[in-house]
Amino acid sequence: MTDTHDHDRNGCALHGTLRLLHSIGSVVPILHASAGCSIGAWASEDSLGLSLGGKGYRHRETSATLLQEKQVVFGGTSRLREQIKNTVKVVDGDVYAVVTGCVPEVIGDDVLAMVKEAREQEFPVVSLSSPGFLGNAWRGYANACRNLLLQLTDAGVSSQQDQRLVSLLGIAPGLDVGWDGDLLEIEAILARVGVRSLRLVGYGQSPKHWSRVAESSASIALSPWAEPGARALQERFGTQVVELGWLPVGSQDAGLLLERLRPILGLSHELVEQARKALDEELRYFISKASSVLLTGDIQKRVAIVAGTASAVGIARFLAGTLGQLCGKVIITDDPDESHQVSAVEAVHECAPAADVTFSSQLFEIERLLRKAEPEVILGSSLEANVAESLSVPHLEITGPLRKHAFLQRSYAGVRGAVALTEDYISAFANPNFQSSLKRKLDIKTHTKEASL
Amino acid sequence: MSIISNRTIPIREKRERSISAFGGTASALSAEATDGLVPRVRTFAQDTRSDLQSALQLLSTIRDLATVVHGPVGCLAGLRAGDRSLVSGINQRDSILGGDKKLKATILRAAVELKPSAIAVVSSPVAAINNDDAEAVISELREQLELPILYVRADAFKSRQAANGVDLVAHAILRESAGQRSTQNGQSAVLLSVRESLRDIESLNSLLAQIGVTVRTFPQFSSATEWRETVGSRVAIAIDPTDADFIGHALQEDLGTQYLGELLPIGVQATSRWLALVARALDATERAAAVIAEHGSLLEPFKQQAAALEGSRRVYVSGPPRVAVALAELAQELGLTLSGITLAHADHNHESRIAELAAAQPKLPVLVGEGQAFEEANQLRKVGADLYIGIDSPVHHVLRLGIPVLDLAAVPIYGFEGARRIADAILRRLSNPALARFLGQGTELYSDKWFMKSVHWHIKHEVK
Repeated sequence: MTDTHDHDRNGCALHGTLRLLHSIGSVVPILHASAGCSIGAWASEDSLGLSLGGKGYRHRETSATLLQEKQVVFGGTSRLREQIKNTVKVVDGDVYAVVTGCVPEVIGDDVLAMVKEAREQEFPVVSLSSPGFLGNAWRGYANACRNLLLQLTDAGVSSQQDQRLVSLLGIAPGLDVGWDGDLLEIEAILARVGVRSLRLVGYGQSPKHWSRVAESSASIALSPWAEPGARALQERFGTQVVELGWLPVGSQDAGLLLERLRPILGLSHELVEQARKALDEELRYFISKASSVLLTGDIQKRVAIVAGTASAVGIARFLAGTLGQLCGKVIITDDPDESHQVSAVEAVHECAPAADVTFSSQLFEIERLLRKAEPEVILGSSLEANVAESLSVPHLEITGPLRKHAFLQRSYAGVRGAVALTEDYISAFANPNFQSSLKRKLDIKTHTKEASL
Repeated sequence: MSIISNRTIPIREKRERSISAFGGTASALSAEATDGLVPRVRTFAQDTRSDLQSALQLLSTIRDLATVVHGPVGCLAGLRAGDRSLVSGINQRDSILGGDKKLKATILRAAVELKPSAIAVVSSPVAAINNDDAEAVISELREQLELPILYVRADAFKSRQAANGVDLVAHAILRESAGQRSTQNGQSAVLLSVRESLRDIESLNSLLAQIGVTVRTFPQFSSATEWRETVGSRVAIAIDPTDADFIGHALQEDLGTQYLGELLPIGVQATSRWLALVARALDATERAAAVIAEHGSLLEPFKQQAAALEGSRRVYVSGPPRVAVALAELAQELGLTLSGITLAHADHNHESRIAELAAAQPKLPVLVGEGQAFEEANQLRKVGADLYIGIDSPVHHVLRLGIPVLDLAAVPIYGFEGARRIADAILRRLSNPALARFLGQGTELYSDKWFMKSVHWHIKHEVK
């Protein structure tokens, strides 16, 4: 992880873990930390309650030990014991996940002993060590996903693998803002070739789906953050890994996903080709409605994209490879390790050979990179709004933190997602805020010019 | 002893004998308050804001101030465009070997990148445990940068109350600016604001302007370059005395400022009294009387609309103590019945307000605590409500019960304009509760066993 002195938009490892846990039905996180750690995990959405519903959703009801000074000095294990016991009484759940923040890790609380004690009393408790100083929220999600997979699946039991069942890994709840809709869309794509999916998080998902991953024939890795979990399944159950590494936006990448899956699951060539053709036809039908706007409306722009790997790569490939946009600058913000950086650059260059791909999560640096790139439209988070305004270019929120774009079930994955992205992209140029901002700038320039005459 | 010159300040629990856990009736709380509120602990709790977060929220409103959080990256959460803040990013190695170098580098970077007039360094739980010598770093850089650098000692574990964070910020600012304050200006007044919205401040400024009074706001929405002049003001006016008292008393005791800290301007009557108090201190009594007379019957149309609503109109209110009580009174003025109340915390300063509540409704169910949704869910199941009024607190537990929610975080609440907006918002919620009814048909999070228990089952007296 890079040293961070600057703003960091990615939060900490604990945040990623909590977001994962709260996205699985009937999993009850028990936070062992000082006050406020879980509040911070959702603070970037709270002001407008977008994406995850902010304080209107149950993550503001996180069971927590709220360590006080006495426990910092003398240890907090007895407080944790008490909190575990009472959480089971107060909150209904199938799995109780003890999550540690920075403080108990620094003071050396024996959390595993408390968890073991709880399990001996037949409470369904698991343990996830997630102090914030271990890394950013993406890394926290990846490690938590791996640890949860190992704790919720039974190493001793061999399960018959289902040749038509796969697990979806790497789309991080809350960090990939469209995560819930994205996974539903990918599930629908796979269903076209008769493949069922374990989304594991989001609508209708629960620990029972996690316990079934041993039956899946493949783990589909949709970002660098799938790797720890996918590797764990491979080591334990021999589950093969289908590497895509990004969110499949549009028919080409949805088809590519099916093609990569084909040899692993023994799907027939004809079946996959039929599905690819159908995806292309569906996308072509809807995009055709907008083709005149895209052409005669002069919407072929120099695009800058600022987002995590999955979204940045997927959206860049679609905008360049299908919509014919000029992807000049792609800034990847989730700090993947070097091998994944290389893969991400290659993936972008396949569709946008001239794109300059850089890696940064630092606000000031990203602003400097964007100004230098002189884009004609910026797709990023709300943090890029100021620089877009100063450059008088449209700004579309595609990633968090969000301030003006609601993501409830909205997705940019697959064909439906690509159509939604196209709609949003076109609308960004017609946006009244952008238009009035541009007019203000033009008026100022005109006024200044007149005054100088 | 000087409040301002003390290096540290006691937490609210010690300074004000403040409590943040209680479940019972208004009369029980009032009786206890007479002898001294009893500290309690929870054996089950839910996460809530910390003093670090409330400190950061306050600091983020101060113009030309840069904030440096000395802690792991997650401590600087809620990053927004325009936030003038950085984090030192303590990692695992730093948590063992110390993070002083990182702190120094981050402060230097803040000075270069943000070009502030002052810098606030905020501690975090890990930095507090590590005992990093932040003061030495700050002392060195004050000289080097020739910039005021404040040190806010937040740690998220000494106090149970997030509100403690605003006291820490206020103390740090006063220590920086009081010693070199400009001579008191006979005409100057300052509005003490800690958590109010910008719209509320604008509304109160507008109201004061009607009686010919212009004020600066402090510390929220202030400018670091104006602090020294602001703390030299002749009169300091509280909006919410619960939050302003620390600053007001410090200015009064240490600098001789007249502190007006008795009243909270929520509701027509309370705003009228507040305005009259301010006007007396600033020689604007006649103008104030005219303004007050103009707004006297502001709520009448809303009362008529409320009377015409069908069905029961029970309201449950939750919020900071004085604000919650004031909102309850306003709701009752509109003809609603108070079914219960949650106070974020309570201390000896609230004794009279609690006594008034108890005198009116001795058996009124009262909770004390911030962010403990499970307690409110249990309480609401037992007492019922047709409307829940809260401020910036969890609400999903209320919606799951099918009860409409009015979150006043986005609604101006102070002054005559605030009274009008609150009344309007209440009536809107009561006129169409469809969303809450729909969401109320979903799944409950808490166990049936919890709902059968008493609301204070998990609360015990604290053993020292």
